Amino acid sequence: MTFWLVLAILTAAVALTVLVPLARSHKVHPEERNDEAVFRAQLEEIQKDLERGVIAPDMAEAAKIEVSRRLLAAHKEHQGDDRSAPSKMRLRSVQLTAVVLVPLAALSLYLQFGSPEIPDQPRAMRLAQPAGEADLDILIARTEDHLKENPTDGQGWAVIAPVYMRTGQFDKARRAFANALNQFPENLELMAGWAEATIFENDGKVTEEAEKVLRRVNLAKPEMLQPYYYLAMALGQKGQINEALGAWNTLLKSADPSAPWLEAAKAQRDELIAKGAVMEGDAQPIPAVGQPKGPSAEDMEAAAQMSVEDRNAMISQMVLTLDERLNEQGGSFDEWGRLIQARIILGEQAEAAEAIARARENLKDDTAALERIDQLAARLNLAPAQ
Amino acid sequence: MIIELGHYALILALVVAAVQSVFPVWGALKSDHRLMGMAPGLAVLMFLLTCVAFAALTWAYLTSDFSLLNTYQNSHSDKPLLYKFSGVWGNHEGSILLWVLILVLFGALVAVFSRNVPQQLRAATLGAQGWVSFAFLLFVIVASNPFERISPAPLQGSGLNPMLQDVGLAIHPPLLYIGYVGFSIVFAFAAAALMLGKLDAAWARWVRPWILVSWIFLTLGIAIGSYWAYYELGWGGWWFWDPVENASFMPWLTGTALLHSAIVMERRDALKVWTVFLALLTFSLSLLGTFLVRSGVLTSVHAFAVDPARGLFILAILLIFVGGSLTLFAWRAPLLRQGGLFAPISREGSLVLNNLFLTTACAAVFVGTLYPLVLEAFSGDKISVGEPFFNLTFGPIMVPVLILIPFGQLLAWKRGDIWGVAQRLTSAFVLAILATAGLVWFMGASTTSIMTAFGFGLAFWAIFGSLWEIVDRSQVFKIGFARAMARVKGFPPTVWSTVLGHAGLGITVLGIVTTLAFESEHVEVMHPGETLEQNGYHITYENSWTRNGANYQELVSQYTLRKGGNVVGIMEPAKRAYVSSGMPMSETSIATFGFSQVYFATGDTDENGGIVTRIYFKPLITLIWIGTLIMSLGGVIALLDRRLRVGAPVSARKRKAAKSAIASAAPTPAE
Amino acid sequence: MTRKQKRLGLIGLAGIVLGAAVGLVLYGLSSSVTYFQSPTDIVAQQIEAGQRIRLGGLVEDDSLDKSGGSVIKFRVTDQAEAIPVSYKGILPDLFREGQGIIAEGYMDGNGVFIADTVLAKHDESYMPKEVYETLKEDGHWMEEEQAAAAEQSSNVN
Repeated sequence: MTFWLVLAILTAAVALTVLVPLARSHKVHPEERNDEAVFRAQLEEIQKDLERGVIAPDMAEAAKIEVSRRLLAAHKEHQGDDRSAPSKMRLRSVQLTAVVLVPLAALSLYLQFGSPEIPDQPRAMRLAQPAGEADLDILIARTEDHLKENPTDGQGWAVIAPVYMRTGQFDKARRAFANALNQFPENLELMAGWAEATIFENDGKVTEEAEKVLRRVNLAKPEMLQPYYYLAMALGQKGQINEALGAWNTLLKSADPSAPWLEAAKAQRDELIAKGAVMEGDAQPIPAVGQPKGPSAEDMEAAAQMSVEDRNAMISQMVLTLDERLNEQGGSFDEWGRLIQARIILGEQAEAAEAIARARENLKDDTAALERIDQLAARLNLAPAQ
Repeated sequence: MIIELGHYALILALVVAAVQSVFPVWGALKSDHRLMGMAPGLAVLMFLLTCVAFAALTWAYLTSDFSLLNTYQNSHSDKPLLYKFSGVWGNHEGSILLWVLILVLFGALVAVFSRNVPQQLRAATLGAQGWVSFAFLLFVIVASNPFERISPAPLQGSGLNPMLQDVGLAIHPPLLYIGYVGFSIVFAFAAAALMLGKLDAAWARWVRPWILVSWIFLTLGIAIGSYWAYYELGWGGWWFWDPVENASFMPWLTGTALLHSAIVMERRDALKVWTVFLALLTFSLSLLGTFLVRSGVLTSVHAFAVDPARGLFILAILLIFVGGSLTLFAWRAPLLRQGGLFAPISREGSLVLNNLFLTTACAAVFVGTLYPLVLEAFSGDKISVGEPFFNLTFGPIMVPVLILIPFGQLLAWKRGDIWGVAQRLTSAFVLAILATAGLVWFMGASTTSIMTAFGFGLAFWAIFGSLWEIVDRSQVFKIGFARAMARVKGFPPTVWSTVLGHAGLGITVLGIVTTLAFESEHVEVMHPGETLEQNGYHITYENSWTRNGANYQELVSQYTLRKGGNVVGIMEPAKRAYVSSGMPMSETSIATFGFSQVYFATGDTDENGGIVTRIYFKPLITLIWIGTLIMSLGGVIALLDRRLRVGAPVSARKRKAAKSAIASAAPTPAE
Repeated sequence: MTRKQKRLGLIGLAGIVLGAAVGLVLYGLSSSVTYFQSPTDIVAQQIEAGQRIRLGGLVEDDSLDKSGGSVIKFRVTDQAEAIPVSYKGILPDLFREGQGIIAEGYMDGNGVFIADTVLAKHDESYMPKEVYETLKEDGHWMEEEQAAAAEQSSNVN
């Protein structure tokens, strides 16, 4: 409403500026015969130049004559200088313009080109929105700002990296994993995440470096399924189709039949068979089987097609799952740290404080971890809920 | 709300421009004071409304409001504050809005400061300015609207072009625009004079301050643009005859001619039709420049997004204004009263020659700039017209200008005595010869070509010849030093402005000639610790390291510059990579010795730790820009001349004095 | 001198200056203009060695050879023909393989283009206009790339 009021005031000001001069009366003052004034000034200057000796006397005389002629001519011209009688028609047309045409034209042009329904949205203001109303993009932006100021916050990077994966920003995800790895160089899950992001960034091509990293993860933690999947892909891409087929079969043998990536893996295996891959020997099951972490291609595709609310829900779901698991089974300091961090990023201070309390409870036998929890709490300005 | 308010204000400004285009002109033609009286108020109002729009856009940039398509595309919340601000005009829409802002600013300035101009002329001028304002406001709103919104708004902008994060680039466009657009007022004055059919010496005096202001800013804008290209692009070049540079240079040439012909018109009531024509031409060239830059028809570092609709719109504006003003000129100019006559050998004669050469030079630049376009349109051949062409054509045309400058300064109005002047200039000529010989000796006589020596001679002739006016006028050899100094103090400002303007040109030419003849470029692969000897300097490559900047990471290479065993400079050129865009950028390192510079840029590193190093030696290069500063200073002094403000309320005493002057002059019979 | 004579004198002088200028311009256009050529043009037309030309095209993938110290070698291609280029100096910041560039210089006798200037515009998606048009005429230009380039090609003012 204020907005339209301001528009009306502006428009009225314009109309007034158009109308006011009409009311003023003008008479021609001798002073308004400005060209005469100029010539008089010129005469004076010539006189001054002459006095200073800048020009020769005969030159000055000739110049004076010339200017005087102009002055006389201008003067004569002004003798017949009278303004024409004010005409009604012109007056009316100005009034009509000011009162009708100006507002009409301005308003219709504005309605054509303007967007009165969109408010200003300064970035700082949007980021300050309470967490409940903020959508995923704002949460991400807020985290990004936080990480820009604290680029060594490995936990923060570890939280945001999977979010990038889910929103299809694979290059950012890769960088986030890399930054997190800078702080936790030996973290195998971050390594696997980095490799996965790299592969997605390269449109599914398993790069040499990614393969190297995956092999390292696989060696250190053979029960993790994720590396098997991508290593199998790598073999297929390098043309070692027989070996690739073997790798797929090994993976499929150990897979949970409800695993979301199962179909994709099967499709890739079938493709290899169609290409003529032959299996040598039997597939060996993977040692101790756990669930592969991290989203699969289908997950990712689904995430990309999700609406904002769905994605929000997905993130919250991730946090909740972690929360529940830690509650039930307990966890390492790293996992608790990630939960606390995630709560902070979601703007849920109370839950974060509560998580700290639970973490302290859960890790009470591990003095080193307790100390780190305290450090984390101090850094985040959180007192454990009593 | 602020943004939408800005948008509405812009639209209102368009409506006001439409009113301004019609009624004051109508009033001026019908001598209706009520309609004429509308003009100043509307001009100021139009400026205020455009200010609101510009402020709203700036606000959106400063607060990183990405609900505007324009900020989203061209800004980023990580930009340093200064560059968020300069980012407002670092893009097509914003820069056109700045163009319009300066346009209406000039209208408002005329409304406020030109109270001494007769109401009729002022109303018609502001009306004609209203046409230009209307055309460009319409262009902004319809074809390049900076207030386009996006909903839902993104949270981060995508504009972090590191090239645009530069102080030189932040101030270069506004200065250039003030110059370009200032000529619109001159154009409006000319169109008004044609419409009213009244053109006399007084008109020239009223217009001259506006020519001067535009000319000063255009000069500075071109100079800063040139220095920016020199230190930022890393090629060591300071003028590329790039179409966009030419686009600003052509109005400068005709503007300079206009500056001079307006003096003749003011003093002698002559060259009237020509002066009006130059005024129309100069603004047409400004429009042409805007078209060339904004439509993207030319290959250039300056082109924004190529959008045919926008190009066509500006082309239409260009054709309407050029065609319209030429038609007006052809129709009305013959009706103007003929101007005075003058002898060929006189101050005005020399100014006519100056005009002739400057406009011819402009025509040569015009052909070189547009020929490739025309040829491609008709034959499909793609050519590039570069430095060799302009050196061949522009250079020789400017030679007589430089030779004539000192003569013009000393020739009297009406009838001059060329031999007398030549005699008075003998000392200046001798000085120029001596200075040339000295410089040739200093640079090494064996390496100096005849052409270079001739160039030096021309430059020194222009410098000493123009400075000689002071010596000559002071009559120091006749009346002794003390009395001569008293005379010098009493000189009118025009003397100083002429001397500075011309000497500045000579200094620029001296810098250009020396740089062209003696600059040298060395590209070497250097390894840490390696020293090479070049132009009397010992250059040692120390090492390289990585350094983190605000939003970039750079590889800094350090070189020690020694002369005669003493360290005279530590050079640190760098290669930057901007974090968020990954865009690479070279940062040059320049050391200044006297007026000369040594210029470093680095390239790639090889496996053995070697780095490609480009070293330029640029003797006397800073004179190029120092000269332009001196020229501008001359312009400023001319602008401060009290006489240009004369006209408004004349005191009774003065009027009396003038009346008695008429009384004494009028009865004298004609020559 | 009468009014008419003075005027004639002025017009005569203007005519002489303009005539000289026209002569200079014509000579300049015939002698110091560089033609833009694509690699195909060069192969087809047998350009004279030493004649100044502008060569435009894309930097061929995997053709960049920096082993020669400050002398850099690469190949410029229009997807049909490719011309080897030798350049001594510092490449522009945004020079990279696959990028559209313009090189100015001349052909030596052995089919190598000796460049003294290499231009790649300061924009990631920049494509010099001549290069873009030649590629488009030859049908080597993918429409979506073109759209992407147009969208992003905001540049320096």
